[in-house]
Amino acid sequence: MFIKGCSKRIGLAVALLLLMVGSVRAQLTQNLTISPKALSLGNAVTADPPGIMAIQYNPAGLTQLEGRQFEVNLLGAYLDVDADFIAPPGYNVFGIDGLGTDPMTGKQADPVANTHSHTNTANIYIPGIGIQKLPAPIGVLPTGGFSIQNPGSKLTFANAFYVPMFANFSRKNTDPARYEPQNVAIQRVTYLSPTVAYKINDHWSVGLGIHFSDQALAIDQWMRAPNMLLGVAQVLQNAFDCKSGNEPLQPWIALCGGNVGPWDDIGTMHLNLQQTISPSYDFGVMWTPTSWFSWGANYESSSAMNLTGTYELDYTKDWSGFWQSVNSSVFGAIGAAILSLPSGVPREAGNVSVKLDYPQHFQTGISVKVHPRLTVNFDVSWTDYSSWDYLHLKFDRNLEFLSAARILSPTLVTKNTLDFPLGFTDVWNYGIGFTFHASSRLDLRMGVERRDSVIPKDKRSVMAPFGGADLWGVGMGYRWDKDTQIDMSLSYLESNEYIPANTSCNVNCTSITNIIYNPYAGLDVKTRLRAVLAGLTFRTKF
Amino acid sequence: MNRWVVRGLILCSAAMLMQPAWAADEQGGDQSNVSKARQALAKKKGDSDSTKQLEQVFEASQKNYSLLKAGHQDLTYAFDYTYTADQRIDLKVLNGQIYNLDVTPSATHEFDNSFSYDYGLLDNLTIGTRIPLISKYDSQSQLSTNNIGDISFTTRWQPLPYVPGKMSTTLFGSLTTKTGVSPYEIDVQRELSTGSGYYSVSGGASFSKVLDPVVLFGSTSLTYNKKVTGLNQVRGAELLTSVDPGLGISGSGGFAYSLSYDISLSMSVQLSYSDKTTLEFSNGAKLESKAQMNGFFSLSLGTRVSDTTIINTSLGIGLTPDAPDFSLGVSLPINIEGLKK
Repeated sequence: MFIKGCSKRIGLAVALLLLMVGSVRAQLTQNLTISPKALSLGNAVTADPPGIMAIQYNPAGLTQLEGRQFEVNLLGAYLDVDADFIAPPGYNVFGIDGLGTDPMTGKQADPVANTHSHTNTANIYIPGIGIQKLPAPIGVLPTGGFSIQNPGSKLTFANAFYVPMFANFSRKNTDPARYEPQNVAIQRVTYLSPTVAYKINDHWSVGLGIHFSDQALAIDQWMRAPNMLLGVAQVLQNAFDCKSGNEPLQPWIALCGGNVGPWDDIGTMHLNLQQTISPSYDFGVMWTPTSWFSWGANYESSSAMNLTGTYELDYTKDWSGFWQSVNSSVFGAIGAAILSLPSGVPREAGNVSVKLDYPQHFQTGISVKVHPRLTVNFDVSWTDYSSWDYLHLKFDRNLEFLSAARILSPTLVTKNTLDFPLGFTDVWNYGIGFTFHASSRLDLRMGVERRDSVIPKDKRSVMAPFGGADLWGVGMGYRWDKDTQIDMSLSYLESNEYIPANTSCNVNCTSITNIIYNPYAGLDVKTRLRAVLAGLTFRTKF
Repeated sequence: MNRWVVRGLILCSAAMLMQPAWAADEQGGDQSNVSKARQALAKKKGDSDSTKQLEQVFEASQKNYSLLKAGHQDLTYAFDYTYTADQRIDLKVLNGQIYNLDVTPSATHEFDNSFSYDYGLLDNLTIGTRIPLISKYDSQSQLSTNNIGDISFTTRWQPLPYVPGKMSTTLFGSLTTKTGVSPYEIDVQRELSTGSGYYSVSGGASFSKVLDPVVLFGSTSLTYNKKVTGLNQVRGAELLTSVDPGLGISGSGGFAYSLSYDISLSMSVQLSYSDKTTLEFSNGAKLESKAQMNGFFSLSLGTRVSDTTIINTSLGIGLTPDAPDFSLGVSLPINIEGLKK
């Protein structure tokens, strides 16, 4: 009888595995930095909640935590972000050979072409200070929480501190990928998450929590625009023989105030935005009709954010000098006035804001004990990333850079706003986890999550190298004593993307209107993201 | 000890505790005034974190009516709703010409959730911190924000033990940080602030005397607000570069009365004087607001719900145009000693 029951359950598990065959891409950093147990089970834990971090995965599961417990998690991450910039045959801008020699510098015209970018430096965002690079390639993230269930009570209260979103890395200032970007920190820290779970009866539990989070968005990046317009500028500079130091058509036209060209740096941009309270709520339900089957579902609300902060644009001497000289000439001044061209200020800075929704998330799953020694978990999840259509930056004043760019990109740019097209899509993810009950104390775990990309092919970039990936995890759970549980996990995720020239206008489109966001115009770009995550959970009663 | 005395002391200490925050907050609220400076500062006025004094009263009443014993700790949650409505005029007068004329009605709803933690270092020395979580909504401009406010740290010292029949004195000092969203570092057309934008240090003393069955209490404090420089904010046609908020002096007084063992009522008036505020702009122009006075009247009701728990509710009414129109609040203790079990 039991064998027959087991075979049915195994059949169910196989069917679920077959369902998962399909295209695979990664979904940003969702559920990568929260719970070691979940990471080792492919995040398929809605019906088998992972200790106090059930606050995030399914608050109804908190009813399983008896008495007064606290939990500490240590999550170590090693991150490796690579990119290659490959010049296809005939690589040029306005006839200037990208692989040729720049007469002004004597070096390769496009110093980025055919180079490799690599970083394994993570950073953290500290409120009030900004991005801080970590000294070692491995960062350790401590999180924790506690739960209280009075004896005989149906109510469980819990609170945790954890990091649901962490996409932070830094590059050297000579790295060829510094244009997208040199430093980035997209970081969400949930510092307060009061949650109540209620056990309705032996089969049903529900839970509800309110999460207070700090959201940071900080970017430092270099700017360049391998665009036809700057190709024209360089050709004219060569024709004027600016290298000689003369201005042949002064005072009518002056173009030799600074060396500009399609591959010359324009300057650097720094954005530092934050919202210190971003509230969301989380509701979960769990059904356990028998000892071998449970079902869970969890909904996390969206959170409308209004990030505020500062921006700074520092232009190179060549860039500002060029525009100053243009404006100093008769025709240049007239043309600049008509077209709102830059006047050549060396720096622009002020306050900026971004409206952005933290996307809502739904996850449901089952946990089936198919054999006395084997439990199979299966989850599906959905995240509303389609709400990330544009990153809409609003500046507090008119910027010179935008005034010039809006002529070519009027739909994305105004004098004081800038839309960065993200175009993310909604996806369903699948995860499966296996727990082998080796003994009454020891569980061995293995899982995989197949994560569809939320970034469509024509919106890929070097900034968010999250393409196709599986999240593989192994781990173990050890019952140290009757009050103490230890979980360990080791996970691996790899994402590879190939973006041929002119296929994504967030990185390498060559049309004259793609003057912003395309610092690698005309280059083939390969990106690779690898992450190794090691986790340790210690949970005990107090 | 007479039970009236005990209850009275509770309320006295409550009144003592409220003063530091009050003084600091009112400094934050002094920015708008008549004349040009008022217009330049008008956007900021409604943004300032104002009148937490009632909440301080409520928090204090949890504290066993005196400073905490050594080693004891106390966590209090308080919720405050404040409504402020005014008309803001944004203009610039240059050579007799008026530029940028704009009259903006404003109606700001502020929801302030705060957690206060106190720890008794010695029997007569208590240190504490207060972390406000602020939600704000302006129904006229349709702007809203959720952000942490200015976190503050307070030390209270009772130099002499309480002697029945004598006046009791507590000295206090506090530091208010600028962790909130500064009104000088935002796009004033699109954002709301949740902090004052500058550091403040204040010190003072509070006094109480029991005249059974009434307790009289009063307090005075002085606040120094640190000048902020390096700003880069668009204000009309100008760029604001620095703000020097000036000194603040605050005083309050009131009485508390126990209606029954479970219910007590208190009334108080707070007055604060703010010295002139100086704003500097990138073109070298300076604007000075005139010194001003602020007044706020508050009524509060303490209800005992268990032997150790008192929930306070309050109503505050602004007495001057620059004070909030009214505020409603409730505060209750959170039992963290229970975690030690």
